[in-house]
Amino acid sequence: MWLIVGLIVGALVMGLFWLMKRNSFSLKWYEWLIGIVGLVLLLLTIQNYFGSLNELESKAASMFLLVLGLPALILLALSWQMVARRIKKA
Amino acid sequence: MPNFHSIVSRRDFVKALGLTGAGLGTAAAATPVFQDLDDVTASPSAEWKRPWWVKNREIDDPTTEIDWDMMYRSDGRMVGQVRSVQIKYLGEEEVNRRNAVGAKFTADGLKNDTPGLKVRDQALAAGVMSMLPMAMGMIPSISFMGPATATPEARGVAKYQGTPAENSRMLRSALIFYGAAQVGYGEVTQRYKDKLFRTFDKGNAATAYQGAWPPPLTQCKQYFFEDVPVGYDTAEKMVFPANVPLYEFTFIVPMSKEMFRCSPSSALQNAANLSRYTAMAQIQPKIQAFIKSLGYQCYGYTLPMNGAVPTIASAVLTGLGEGARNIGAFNNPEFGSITGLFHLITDLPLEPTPPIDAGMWRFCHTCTKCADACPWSAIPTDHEPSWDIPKLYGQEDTTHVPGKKQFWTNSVDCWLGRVQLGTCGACMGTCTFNTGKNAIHDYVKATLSTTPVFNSFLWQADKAFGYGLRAGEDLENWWDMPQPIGGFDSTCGIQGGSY
Repeated sequence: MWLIVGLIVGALVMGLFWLMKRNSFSLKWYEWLIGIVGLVLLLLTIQNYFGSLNELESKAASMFLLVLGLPALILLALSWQMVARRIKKA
Repeated sequence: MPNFHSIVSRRDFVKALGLTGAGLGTAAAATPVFQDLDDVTASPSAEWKRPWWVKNREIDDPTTEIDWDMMYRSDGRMVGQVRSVQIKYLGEEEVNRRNAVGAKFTADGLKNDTPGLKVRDQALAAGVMSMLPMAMGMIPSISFMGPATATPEARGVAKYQGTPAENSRMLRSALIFYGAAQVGYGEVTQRYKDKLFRTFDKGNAATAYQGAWPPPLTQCKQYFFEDVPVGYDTAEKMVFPANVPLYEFTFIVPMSKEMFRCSPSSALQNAANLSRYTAMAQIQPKIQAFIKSLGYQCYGYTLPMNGAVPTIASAVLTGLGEGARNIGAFNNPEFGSITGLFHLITDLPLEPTPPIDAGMWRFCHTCTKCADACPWSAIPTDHEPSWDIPKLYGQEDTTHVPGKKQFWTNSVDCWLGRVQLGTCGACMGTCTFNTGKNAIHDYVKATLSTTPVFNSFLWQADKAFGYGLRAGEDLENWWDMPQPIGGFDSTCGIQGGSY
């Protein structure tokens, strides 16, 4: 599983750098920080969601989606929106 | 309509979400998981999930070709191990010659120190062979002195010699091979003899003997230290050599975590709980024969649940784990709360292992999950342990020995509560440390070991995430769970190795 996750994350990061180069924009340090924290939370969610299912703890799996997955998506979306709005304004 | 100051359209946003979802979906597809227990039971291969490249064939049609018309019933006596059969094909002289070659090969290997046939190698095999008479019901498996086996001197070679560190590594490998999971070592000091060795063995006091107090010595032998080179036992006493350096080794036999989650009042938990004793009935004679075959002594239990030293004390002192809120329980960093502990004495020099601090005992100060789950409220809910043993039904509590700062469990209510429910292990089953292999449990253990300020949060999180005891019909789902051999992960804590 982690091979596939790694490939997807790698492709997304490469895509981000490609977009930054093509559209000539850069990310502020706090946008990087929020995005990286969101990504780490997302990876933790994947790890522990499937880990919990493997140990037959379905309630724990759902809780991981809630307490890690949701903040991960919020942070990633926040980071993305901050960049998008900043570029739009500029 | 403007996109709310964003250069990314809603459509792009939904596409991005879809990409993430596809990623997660691919990851999920690559991982063999069950969404819940219904999935397990609904699967046609629920009992035995095999890789996709293993294909089923028709019944009675294995890959080895069979012609049922040619086949007839076999004769159990007509096998290559039977001497008469060997003679039929080879003649008596050739059979005798080959047997003599085998005996000489093994004996020469011992004398020549041949790798694979050295004293310790053959001692390991002798340990397993010692079980055969017991497996055939010829002799009892558990005894203070252990099974008879050939010593190195009797076989014409010197006793095994190794440094304490080498001996410790060797004994750990042998014990793990025989069925233990982890091993800790200690030296039997004078303080150990004066404070930790029991005066009397539990003997049959908790099992067959139901008579008046005190039980006769024939039911519960007395422990002594005498100036003898080798210990011995009689009908009324068990004797350790007083002036021979002695060492202890304590080992863990894990049990099924899932079955303990079926506590209280569940035969499933009882089956798991008893499994440690049947394991000990096999491990003890093997390790005794192994040590004897090296040229040393190993003094054992009289029954699988009796020992010369309280095992939680020796397990804590030899660093296998830490004490728990329930004074009768124990927590191990790798296997958690569901462990059986056993403890033997030997004159094989061993290198002591120190006690550990994994933050587990400190965590027990905060967490009262086991006490809350106890059907008889036999476990205190205080948050600070005490030196003072509280009275037990208005009388001095002689079931505990002072000198430890503990939470003092009411051991009479604990045991008779267990009896009234048929069985109970709720405290161990619900314990915050009774967890599986998911990575989060390692993060939690690392956190509480280094940052106790989070202990209360972690305890509450454990409850919120739904870990702990199963209830009602959920207990019967155990029968459909994919479980490892023996109900526990034998590779737990093992670094490397070809598993």
